[in-house]
Amino acid sequence: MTDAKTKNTKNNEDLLSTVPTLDDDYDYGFSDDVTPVFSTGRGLTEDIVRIISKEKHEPQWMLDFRLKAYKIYRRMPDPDFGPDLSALDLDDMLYYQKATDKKYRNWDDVPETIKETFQKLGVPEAERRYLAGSAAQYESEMVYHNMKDEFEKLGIIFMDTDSALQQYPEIFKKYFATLVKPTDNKFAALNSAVWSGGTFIYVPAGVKTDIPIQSYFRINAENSGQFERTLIIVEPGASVNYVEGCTAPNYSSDSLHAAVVEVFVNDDAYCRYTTIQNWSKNVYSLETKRAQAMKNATMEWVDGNLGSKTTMKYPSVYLDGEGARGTMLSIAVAGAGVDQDNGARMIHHAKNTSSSIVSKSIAKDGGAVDYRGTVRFDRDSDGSFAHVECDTIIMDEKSRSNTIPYNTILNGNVSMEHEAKVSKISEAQLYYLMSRGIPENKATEMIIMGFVEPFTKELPMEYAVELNRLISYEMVGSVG
Amino acid sequence: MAAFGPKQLDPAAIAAAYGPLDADPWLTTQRQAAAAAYADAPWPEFAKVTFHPWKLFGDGTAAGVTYPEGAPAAPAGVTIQPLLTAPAAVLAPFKPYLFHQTAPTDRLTAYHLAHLNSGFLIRVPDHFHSDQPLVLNTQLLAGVNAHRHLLLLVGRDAQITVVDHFTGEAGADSADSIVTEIVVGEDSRVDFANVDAFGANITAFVRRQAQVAANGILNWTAGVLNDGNIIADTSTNLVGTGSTADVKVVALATGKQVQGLNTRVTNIGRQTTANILQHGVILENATLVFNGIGHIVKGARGADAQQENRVLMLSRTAHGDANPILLIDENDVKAGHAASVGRVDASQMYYLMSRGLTKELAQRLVIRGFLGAVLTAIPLPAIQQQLIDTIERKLIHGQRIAHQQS
Repeated sequence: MTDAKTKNTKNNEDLLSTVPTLDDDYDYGFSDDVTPVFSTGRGLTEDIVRIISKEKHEPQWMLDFRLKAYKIYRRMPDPDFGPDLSALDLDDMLYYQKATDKKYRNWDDVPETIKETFQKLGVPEAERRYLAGSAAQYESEMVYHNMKDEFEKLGIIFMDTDSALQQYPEIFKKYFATLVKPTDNKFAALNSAVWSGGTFIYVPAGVKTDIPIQSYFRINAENSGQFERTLIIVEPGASVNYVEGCTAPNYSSDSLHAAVVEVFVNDDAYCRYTTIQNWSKNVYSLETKRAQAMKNATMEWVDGNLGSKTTMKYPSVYLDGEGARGTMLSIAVAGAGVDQDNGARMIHHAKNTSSSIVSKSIAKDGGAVDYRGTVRFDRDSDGSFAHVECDTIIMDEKSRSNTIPYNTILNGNVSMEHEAKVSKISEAQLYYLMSRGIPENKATEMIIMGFVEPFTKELPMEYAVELNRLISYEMVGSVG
Repeated sequence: MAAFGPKQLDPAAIAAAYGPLDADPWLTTQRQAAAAAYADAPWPEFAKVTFHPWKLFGDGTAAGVTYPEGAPAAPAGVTIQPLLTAPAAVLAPFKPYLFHQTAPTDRLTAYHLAHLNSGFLIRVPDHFHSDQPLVLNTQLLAGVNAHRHLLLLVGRDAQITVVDHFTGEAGADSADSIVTEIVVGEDSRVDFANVDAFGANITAFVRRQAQVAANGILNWTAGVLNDGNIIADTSTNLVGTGSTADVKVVALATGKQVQGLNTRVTNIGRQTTANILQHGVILENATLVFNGIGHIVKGARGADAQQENRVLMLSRTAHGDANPILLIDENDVKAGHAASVGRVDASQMYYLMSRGLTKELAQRLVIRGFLGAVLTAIPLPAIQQQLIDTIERKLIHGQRIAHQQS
């Protein structure tokens, strides 16, 4: 960076030199040579489900739950909508791999190779600088989690979900699988059968933290399945800000990430859940994320989808308490060979609830990006309101986009507004920028950055910088 | 006949029963082909409408329709022929088009084609221009299943207005299918209005499919005011470069009925323009589903697809769906949609009531304003007035019910 941007230069060359150089490779595609201390091998049988449960020393009810979910999984079909999943080979997948024997609370104790991976991903540094707590999952298990003392003292519980089952069995059982049942969809059933790792957060009544808690999910081995299970409980009047990131190495064969996330936002509580998904282009990301917002509670999903081969993800908010609020702010970028099928679901179940969905999508180099969403006002949703906005830019003639919103209204005393636009990059804007000496690729990038700004400005600063960098990287070569 | 329809249709039995209706044996072979396709054909798609258990199937060789104002007459120059009694020589020029847009690729269309029992062929020659509208007034009979097919073939550089108006006879139930094909030739302009007011005793599958050649214009107005359960698909293919479709739909749902409407425009040619505007009002326990579908296929460079879906809910127990869907496979396009669902505007109500109008009258005026954008596009003042009267009658009835409930 130079100070050129503060000068009123005659032409914009100096200004241009301040824009960071663009990488032309996926930065996180490296892999480590780590031999897992335990693996169930390829494929999935009922015995493997039992082995996973035994390895984790789980109570009988959890084993029973897993076995029941496994049976449901076996008879459930693929979703009857969205991307083609026929190339996903579920029999060749590694369902459970443990990379370390224990979980660590100090980075110095984490085995060297794994520590290096997370260092390359910037996880320990981020933790030092701006996080209240941080966790890291490698393959099937959390290898690290820690929270700063000041937050621990407030009574916040932050740990991996397996440990929570052992240490807080009562809270766990009260909430676990009550929002997302194994029968919800095929991949929720699969997750319920083989779940491992994930984040457990419990925020006691009245405790508020603005500083984010982060989990980082890393797949390392080829043909891996990662099935984390996240459970967040925000008690009345409390607030939490949770951030997750995901990356994986580049392989020629496919991996699967099928998470289940359940968030409970009790009366007057607040939760923001931010995801920056940047899987390598061999990962199927088939997620089930659901939140329940009670009386006057607020649930906010902030969802960035930059990577993966195929994503199917429609985070939902069940607005179950009077005056509850749900929002979704999302971006999706689909490049060559990528199918991003994203959206949101807002289910208005109580009086005077409100929801907002803002979705920004970009398709380029033959990518497909779809918005698929539902807003539903139930009988008892008097006085509720919903706003939906979907904007898409299709960058070139090889790419495509579908916008499929369903708005179902079962109450006459509500209102809903929905708007969507699909277009190419505005020629007027391009012309304006290029007439001022900015080359086409840079002008295109600037327009895209403006397009996604409503999203990036909601991110913590470090994430915003990272996201802008990733989008710049995605835009490389999209012109000319 | 039972819900879900027969498992299969026997082509030989269809030919034996319906063949005698056909002047040209070619028609009978078309029926047989449709009967053969029926068993494997999927249901047509109407998102968010569970129509499969409805009584959509019913056979019979009787026409199922009457013409209260006599057989339809065409303006000089335009020919109108009954479909079934047309001899081979008359049918010949229509054959390249007849059943082409409505091939038996879904179960209900296949059933319709096998059981055709009335219909018309209309031909508008090249360079025909007239302000005199062609009006088809058709009444669907009670207790007789109507399977009515219409082909409107408009040549090049022609201009015509067609009003296809349906009413229903009260009485016994019937299961009807109304399928229409419209072909708009190059540089032609067609103003097509259909006003469907089928009675509560009629369950119907309605499909109207149009294609527009280069620089053709199709202005389509649809009034959907049925009292029974219906699914209706209104689709236009903008095939030719520079062709335009402007589709306006007004719908009113009352009682316990379900009306599921697909309104689709597919941009295929370059520089094609599609506009969909749908306004609907729902009263009592009725369900109204608007599926607006704007599809721009690959290669339709410079295409523009816009749609607007608005629904007014007048009762707490009404059920509305406004699903504006965009399917875009091309980047050099402009596409947009908007949808809204809500109550009658409170400030408009306040304004009218502060001028001394009763709540009921104020509500009806606001609703008439809401539907006005579509109503004023109905080309024939008499039909327009009839539509307004029907809406008024339904609104007053709905308000009375609401009043009794409260």
